[in-house]
Amino acid sequence: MDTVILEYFRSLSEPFFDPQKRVFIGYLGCAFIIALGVQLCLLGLSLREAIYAIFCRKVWFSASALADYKLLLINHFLMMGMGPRLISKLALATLVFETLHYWFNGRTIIFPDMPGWAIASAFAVALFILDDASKYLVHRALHRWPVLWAFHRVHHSAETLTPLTVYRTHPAEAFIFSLRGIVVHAGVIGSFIFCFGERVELLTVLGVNVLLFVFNVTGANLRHSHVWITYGRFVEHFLISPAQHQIHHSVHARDHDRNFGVILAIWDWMGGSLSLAGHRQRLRFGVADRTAKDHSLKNLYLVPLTVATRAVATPLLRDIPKMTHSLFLFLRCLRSTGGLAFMVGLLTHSSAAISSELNIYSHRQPFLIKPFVEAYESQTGTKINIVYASKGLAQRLQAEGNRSPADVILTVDIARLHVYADKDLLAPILSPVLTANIPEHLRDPENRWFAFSKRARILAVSKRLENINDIQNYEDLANPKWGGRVCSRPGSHVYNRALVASVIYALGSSAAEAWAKGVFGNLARRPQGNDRAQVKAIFEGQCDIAVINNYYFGKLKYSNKPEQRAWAGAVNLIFPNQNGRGTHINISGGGVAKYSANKVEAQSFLEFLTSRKAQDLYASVNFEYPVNTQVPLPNQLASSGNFKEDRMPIARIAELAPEAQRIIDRVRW
Amino acid sequence: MLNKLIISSSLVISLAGTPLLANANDDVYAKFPVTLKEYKGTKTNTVSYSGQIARHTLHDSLKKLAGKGNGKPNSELRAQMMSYFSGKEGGRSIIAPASKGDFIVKQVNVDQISKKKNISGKTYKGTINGMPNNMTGPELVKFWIEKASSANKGVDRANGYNYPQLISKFIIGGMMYNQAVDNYLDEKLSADTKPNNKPYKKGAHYTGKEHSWDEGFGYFGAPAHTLTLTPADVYAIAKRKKGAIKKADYNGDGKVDLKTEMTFAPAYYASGYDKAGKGKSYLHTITKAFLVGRKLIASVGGEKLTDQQRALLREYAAVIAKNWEMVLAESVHKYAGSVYNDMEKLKTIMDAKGDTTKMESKYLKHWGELKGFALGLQTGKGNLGETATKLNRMIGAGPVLINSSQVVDIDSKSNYVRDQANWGEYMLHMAKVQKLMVDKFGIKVRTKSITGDLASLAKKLGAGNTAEND
Repeated sequence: MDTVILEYFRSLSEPFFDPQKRVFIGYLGCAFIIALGVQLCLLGLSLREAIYAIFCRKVWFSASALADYKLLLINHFLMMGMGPRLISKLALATLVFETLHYWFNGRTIIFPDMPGWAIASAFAVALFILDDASKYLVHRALHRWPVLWAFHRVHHSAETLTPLTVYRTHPAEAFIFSLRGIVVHAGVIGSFIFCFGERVELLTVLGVNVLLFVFNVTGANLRHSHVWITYGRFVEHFLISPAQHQIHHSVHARDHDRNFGVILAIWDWMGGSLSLAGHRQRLRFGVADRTAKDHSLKNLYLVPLTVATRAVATPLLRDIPKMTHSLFLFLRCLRSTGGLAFMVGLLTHSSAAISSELNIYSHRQPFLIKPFVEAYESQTGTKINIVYASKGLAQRLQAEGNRSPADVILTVDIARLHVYADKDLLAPILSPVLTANIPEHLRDPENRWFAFSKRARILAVSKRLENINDIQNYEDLANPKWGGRVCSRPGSHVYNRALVASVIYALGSSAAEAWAKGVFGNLARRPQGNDRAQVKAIFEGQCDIAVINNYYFGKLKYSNKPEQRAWAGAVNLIFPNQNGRGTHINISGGGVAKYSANKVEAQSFLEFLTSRKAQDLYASVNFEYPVNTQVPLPNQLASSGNFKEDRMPIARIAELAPEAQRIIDRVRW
Repeated sequence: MLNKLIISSSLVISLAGTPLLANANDDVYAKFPVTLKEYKGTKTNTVSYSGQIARHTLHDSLKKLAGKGNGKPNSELRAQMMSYFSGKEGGRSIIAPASKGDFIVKQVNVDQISKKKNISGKTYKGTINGMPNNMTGPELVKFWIEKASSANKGVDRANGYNYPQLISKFIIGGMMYNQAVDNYLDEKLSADTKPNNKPYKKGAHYTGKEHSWDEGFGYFGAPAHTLTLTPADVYAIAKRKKGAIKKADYNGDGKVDLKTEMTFAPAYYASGYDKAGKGKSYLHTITKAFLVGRKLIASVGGEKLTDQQRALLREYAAVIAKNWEMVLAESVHKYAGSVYNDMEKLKTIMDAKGDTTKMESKYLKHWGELKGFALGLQTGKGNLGETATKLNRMIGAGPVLINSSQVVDIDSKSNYVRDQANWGEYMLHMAKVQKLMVDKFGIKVRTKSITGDLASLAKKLGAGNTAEND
């Protein structure tokens, strides 16, 4: 307990010795000297009169000032507890720093030759301006929003102003101020360190931002005082004078909601809230709706809470009868249709009908396979558990060995399916259903993996392109006439590697390498992004041609985001090589895990995925083509029409992948 | 609990260290007399860790060899590397560390230090989860040797591997650290394993506990007279800097005896962090703990150690293990920072369409060091659990290359399988790897901190919890 008390008094005195705080004794001393100068030189008072005016008993020991001191003492105690609970400035700065890495795909050295003093100056100015602008905005919101005014009114209920009035604050408001400071500082620190790294320095005097130091030594404490200091009409458009802030505290109606700024007046000027000080005025401070009990602790702490709660609750309370009525109607509707009984029955049925479980390891995102899982569960009563990971599932399965709970593997791309077969992680399945439903070139010759859907690697071509007939085959991508007009994701991505493998299969290694070199030579920018990003690049005019998987176009075309629909609207689709070997396709597929304890059920699930019901889902969920030739082309893909596909054995793509990778490396795609 | 133990041990060590430094010979890990009661021979000094020093030279030599390839399959080079890794034959010369200028190395042949030693027999036999295909430690090194023999100067630019660094840094953890902390300073401290009242092996003049402790010290690779030197001296010896022989040559014969006077990898890295002057003293803390422990063993005069004495010995061992682990974690932190800095420079060059060749070489070297240390860190006596999983996922199986690809797997024909990767995300992973090292291992030196500037600026701007109003 003694330690707590000692710590309290130690930290209470800290602001007076901390140059980062407004009430640092050095700043108070400066304010005193300035105030004295004004009293002596401008008002012509004697030294005794001047000192008496500055330390006027009626001001410093008024009921209002005494309330300031009480608030200072109590708030300090409360802030001692709140401080550590606030989000840390460092954590938020790190978040900003990290987010910028995602936005800019890493970090580069910006202005490597920029001198240190210039970076430090830019940092100090950015910090100063954003700090001041955010204070203005928060202050304005505190006045304009009733729920916030309930708290800020505490500060404005001061009828006499002293430098300590700066601490006349409701704790809720103090929390807002702290949050503001943290957000602004973190944003500036995170951004500057991202841009300039270790070259960022803070220009300080006594450890304080140099600009803030200047503000504080030039009489910032006189803002909350009865000493009238103006800067003149011109300067007061740019800097808030102590007199302007005193006007802000004026009880007079004409002064309400004026001069929200702290240091710079430009925010008020721009926001139409600037009021110049003009000639010396005798102002009365406080709020218009003042009460006799404004300085009581109850009014300072509790009343703002009730007023704010009322401000929030009133609109809600108004809506309660409406919401109750809606709920009543819904329940009556359920009762009349027997819906309640139905829902109960459904729940009972689902739990009773679970006869077995199936564990799926999936590289496909949950939302893509959920519809299949739900359809299968409702058809068979089998409970399905899904483990999803974009990477590392094969290694996990390998590490688990015969203890693995996995029954089914689902993934996309033949390269990834091949990994499982190559590591001997799949069990061969002899299923007449799968054999009948899946064409031979789309399943493993050793029956370990099976394709369930097809995706075509097609060309997206800008609608701006006039000679579209010149780009009808993959080979055309290497034509020098398209120099600087092709966009692509990196060659090492499985989709592109598979495409190169298909070119090797069709044309041979040398021709494939020459082709890949030609394509790389035609790129408009460094390979980057996913297939969506390529379409966006065409929309933005960075390039005219891109290779994409067909379903990305479908996703963009039917996207909820208007901008994505606009990207799709900027391109035409070409299914390449229709007069030759056909368009290169890849697959999504899967197999039964080698150590599955439930192979029969696993096989049944795979068979289900080739059924009409599931094959339709592939189109509706992800715009993929059915592998089952008995299933007609679903409506979602009808607009693209049927196309001639390259019928090379899909397994050969995996076999040729290492060679394709070497070509990609050599041409640096 | 562990922290308490370490603090108490540190106290014991610091107390014990005071009289230790009173006498010059007391500072040196050497010349402990024979205590074995049944010994009738003529030997007088029981300190012996030549097998460990031989392995240090095998490691240093293997690292040199791994960088000798010319980009084409080379079975001769492969066989030579394998002889240093898993062979036991005689006649293997010490390729490194060799004499350099005035730094004259006494031994030129591994057999002059100890015969029939290899690395593979002492490399961590558990599964290395940070690389594909569940390889054990020796299998992984063998796989890398295979690849290094056909790489150009040990570097596979297409897949992003610098094999000399990968092999070396992994062995620093997977053999030196693992053997010391998981074997000699753990299992061999049990009551009935290598007891102190019996010879280490038949005919030996040292006891089971004496030699076990010595072998642990041998793997640390510090000169026997480390406590008479500064970390900078020990570092200079490892670098064979001009004039460093004066610091190394403790017996004054004008040569550096690799058995007792040389600095090898673990001590080199410990000295590197200590000389940064950030208040840590890994090198002296570890060496002192070894020395005090050895004195304790010698003090019981060939009797079996009591439970209390063994408990004290385990406290010293815990100090060694914790500080050694921190040295490895400091290395992971340092190289994650280097990788991040390299990526920043590479991106700047790429954006300016400049030549990345030189910078890429640096990047792959640093990544190899990062990966090797990260894998080695996981071979201690405790399972790092989630920390290891996070570390392996964030670092991945290969670096993100300038064509935005990354090795994600190895197929059954030993081909690397690559996929697209995100440059910016990987840079962030490096920052998170550093944070993981700080949070989980409590490292203090934090060389090349990525977010260190954030922290210092945030601190300069103050806490922010203020009630000031306008």
